[in-house]
Amino acid sequence: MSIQVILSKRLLLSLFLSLIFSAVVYAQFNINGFADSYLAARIKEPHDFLSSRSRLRLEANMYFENTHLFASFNAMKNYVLEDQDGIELREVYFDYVADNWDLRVGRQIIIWGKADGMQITDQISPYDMTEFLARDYDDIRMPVDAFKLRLLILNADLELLWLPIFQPGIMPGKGSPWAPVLDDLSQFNKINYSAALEPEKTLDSGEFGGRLSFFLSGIDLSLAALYTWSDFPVSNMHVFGDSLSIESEYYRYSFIGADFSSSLSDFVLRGETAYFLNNRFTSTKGIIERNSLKALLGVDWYPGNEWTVSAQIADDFILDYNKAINADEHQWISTISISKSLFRNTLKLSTFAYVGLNEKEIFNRSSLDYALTDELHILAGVDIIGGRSSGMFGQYKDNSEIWIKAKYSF
Amino acid sequence: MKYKNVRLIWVILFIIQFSFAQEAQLTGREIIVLVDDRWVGNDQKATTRMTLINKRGQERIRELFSYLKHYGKDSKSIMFFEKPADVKGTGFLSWEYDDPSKDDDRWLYLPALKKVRRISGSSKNDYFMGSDFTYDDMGGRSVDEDDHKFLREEEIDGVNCWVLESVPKDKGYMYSKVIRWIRQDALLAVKVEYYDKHGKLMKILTVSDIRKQNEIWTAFRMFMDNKQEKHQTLLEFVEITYNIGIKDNLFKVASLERGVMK
Repeated sequence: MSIQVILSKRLLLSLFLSLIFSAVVYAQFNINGFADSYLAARIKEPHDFLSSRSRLRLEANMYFENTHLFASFNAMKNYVLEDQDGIELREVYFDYVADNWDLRVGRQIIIWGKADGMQITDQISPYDMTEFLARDYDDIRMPVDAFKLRLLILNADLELLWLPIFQPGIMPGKGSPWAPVLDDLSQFNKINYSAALEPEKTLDSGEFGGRLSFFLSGIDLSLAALYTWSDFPVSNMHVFGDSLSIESEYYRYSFIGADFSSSLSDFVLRGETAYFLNNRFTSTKGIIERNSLKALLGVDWYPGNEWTVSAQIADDFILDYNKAINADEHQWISTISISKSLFRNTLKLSTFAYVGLNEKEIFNRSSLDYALTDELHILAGVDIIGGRSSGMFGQYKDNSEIWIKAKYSF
Repeated sequence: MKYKNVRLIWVILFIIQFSFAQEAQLTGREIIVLVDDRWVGNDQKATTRMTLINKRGQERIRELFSYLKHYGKDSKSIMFFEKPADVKGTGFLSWEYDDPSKDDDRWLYLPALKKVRRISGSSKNDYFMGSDFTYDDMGGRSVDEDDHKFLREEEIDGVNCWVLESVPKDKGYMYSKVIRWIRQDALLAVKVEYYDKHGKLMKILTVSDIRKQNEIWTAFRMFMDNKQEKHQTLLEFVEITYNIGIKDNLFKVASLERGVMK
């Protein structure tokens, strides 16, 4: 390599570093984040640890005139799921903010809808089910690579999305205490499993969507539409004598939806619905394509004295139902949530429960969060899981657990 | 000539009448209306620090920055928490209406959930962020939600004050009465006593460092002493600027999601 090339590389590096330095000096720059440690043990025998992890989260913000750069990193150590160890770039995006529009480009978490803990129109950021629902909700949602353009028009916001790269959801790995309980396949001598292929990284594989929201006095309304990929693959099972062949595939679908949220005295009423086109379902006759409808109604009650009570009920309805489908025609789930802050917000007691009405199952997380100082919180809780083993929650009924957590924010 | 004399007599009579009017005592409601109508500018930008002090003298700090714009008697505000670290980035948007029959519109943004949610606008008697100030204490109460009675005039720190008693029309309200000492020159309360439902003294607000900022009378320090819970809150304006021409688009839900650059 010639001296000139080395010099020009050094020059470029110096220029780059001085640009970064100037940006840091002239821009508003801050770093914050938290460190947390979490330990959960099974209530039943053998009282093994279902989770034991520590994490450092760093979040950097840089503001310069109308631009904003955000990046967040996780450094993780997991003693139960060792494949979770490592450093992860969680989100990185930049914003450009003008008077009547803004643009966010990069790896970001996008949440739609008015439902709590349930996906109706909220189909953009997939779920990370590594530890099922036994994690903080913000850890369960995964970032996606997206271009988000928002136009502010009078009382309305129009949000347009393009997701060029497919991001699948994550299921618990083999050997994880949260791996789904599969049907007994011991009758088959041979099982061929073909993992689902992700869509190709081409322009044609992009996902598109839009959301028009109105924020009015007393009520918020939104209309949404999305052309997307399923977060998780659907499986097709073929039996040939004593052998079983399982093929999985991600599939295209789209939806149109709407939501509202309205305050009335101490109450806020919420509703959300979405009509899904070309949804696919596993069945005994292969994969069946059907349209489906999801709808949710919820109410939040703020009686004062730092109490909050919420309840929701949702139905997932498969239209033109075929009995061969491995899911109920109507699948009813409700949630209830109660929280109370005490001692000047230093102690928070809360409970949140999913109740699957079809399978008579429950997943209930109750917790106590005490702020030793503003920076250091000590949390303790219990997750109670029960119901039929065939249910989404009931399959983990042996994983009821107690847990403790410490979190230091800076 | 005759016409000129008649006009002169009318002017003299008007001056005499005006002088008597000045002497006549204003009613409690008239004083509160004066306070409510006080010129506070078109908009403001502020950095506020709250120091929470418990009975053992331990302090906790909350710091936030906010923007506020008036629309006649209504107002819109947006605030973001800077401190403590566990709530940094939490945003709060509020559209407040003077009409007591109309609930305020409020939205909360929690950065961890990346989501804005509409919250109830009716519970104004909850304490704000663990402090001794309720939303109502910070100015969210309409004139006609209380009956106001003039008690007397009194001097505090050499400044003439009106002393008023305000009794809520809603008998279930958290206070049975509020007594205010209002500085006549600045039309600002310098001291407020809050009495609980049983008529016992609950809290005393002491206001100091009152001075003009951008030609507008401003209370820079407000100290709330909760006598019953032996807890105190000092609320200070670290920085406040009026009439900076804030655009309406700032008070939209989108601003909560994208954050507001200071």
